[in-house]
Amino acid sequence: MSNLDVELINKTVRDIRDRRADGKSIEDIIALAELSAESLKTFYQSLDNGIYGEIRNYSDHLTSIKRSVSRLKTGDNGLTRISRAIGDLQEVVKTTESATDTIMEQAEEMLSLTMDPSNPNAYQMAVTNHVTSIFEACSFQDLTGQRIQRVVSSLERLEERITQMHEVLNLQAGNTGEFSIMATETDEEKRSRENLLHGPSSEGEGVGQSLVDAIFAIENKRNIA
Amino acid sequence: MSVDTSMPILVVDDYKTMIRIIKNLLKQLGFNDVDEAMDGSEALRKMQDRKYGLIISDWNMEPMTGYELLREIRSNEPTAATPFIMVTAESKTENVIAAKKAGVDNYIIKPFNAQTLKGKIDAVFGE
Repeated sequence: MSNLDVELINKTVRDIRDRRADGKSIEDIIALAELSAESLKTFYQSLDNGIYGEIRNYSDHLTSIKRSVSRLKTGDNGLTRISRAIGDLQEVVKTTESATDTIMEQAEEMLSLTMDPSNPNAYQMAVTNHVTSIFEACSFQDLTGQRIQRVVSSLERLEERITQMHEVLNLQAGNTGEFSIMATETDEEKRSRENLLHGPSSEGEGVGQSLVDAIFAIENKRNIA
Repeated sequence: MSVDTSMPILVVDDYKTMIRIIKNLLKQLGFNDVDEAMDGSEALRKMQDRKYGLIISDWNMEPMTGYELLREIRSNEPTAATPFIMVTAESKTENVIAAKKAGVDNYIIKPFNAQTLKGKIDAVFGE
């Protein structure tokens, strides 16, 4: 609304309020109302453009999120990468368990072998058979190695997608807003965190048996003192 | 004085393979009376029926961990003095100290061999 319009409106309002509207006809008042409406139209139009722009931004943002999420779901033969990785890990556990069972069984049978002095060849043959079975069972390492490599590759892709989504959603530390409520720990999770360990340490992490023994020696001395 | 190899031992681990490995190692060391449990609560049930000379337990098990089992054993008069060796794959200093404070007699890091197991059993029984 221009300054001139505002001035004219203010003057007319003042005249009406001061009962000095003698010269003002109904046409003047209608013209004034039209002027006001025209001015407001421009104002609302600019407001409309602003809201439209905002909604457009949100829409673009949502499209971008949808694209990132759909990439997460991309799979082969109807299976998602994540569920295939879970399947691979379950297979690794099964294969390892089965191979270990075979190896231990063969070793236990070998331990219980007794040699008949009159027939040493039979003893040697039995040992050779057991050892061959152990070698065969050790081939599990090749299969599990390949499966684990596939899991590693899936996890790397997943990490890449999650990083992209973080960027799209602008989720940085302390910028999670209302989503932070999702991170609330349940009683069961708390018990697990406090009582369960986190599995084998990686190379360079944790302490070795000799350091554990040293800790025990120190603690024992402290208790005696 | 040598360790009494006829004493009953309870091995607690949620992996059957690990139980089998420990049982075989114990057999090599001359211990033949070995029972097994898959977690802390099963171990407690077995301990109600039988008095064990030694408990060898993993830490990470559900629903009751080895650490919880240790605390439970130490807090009950009839079982409080039972020798307890913790066997675990994780070796963070704070966990070793926590187990020691809770009353564990020795602590073995996986993987281990028969000699390490023998050394720890001997140490627990003052050999």
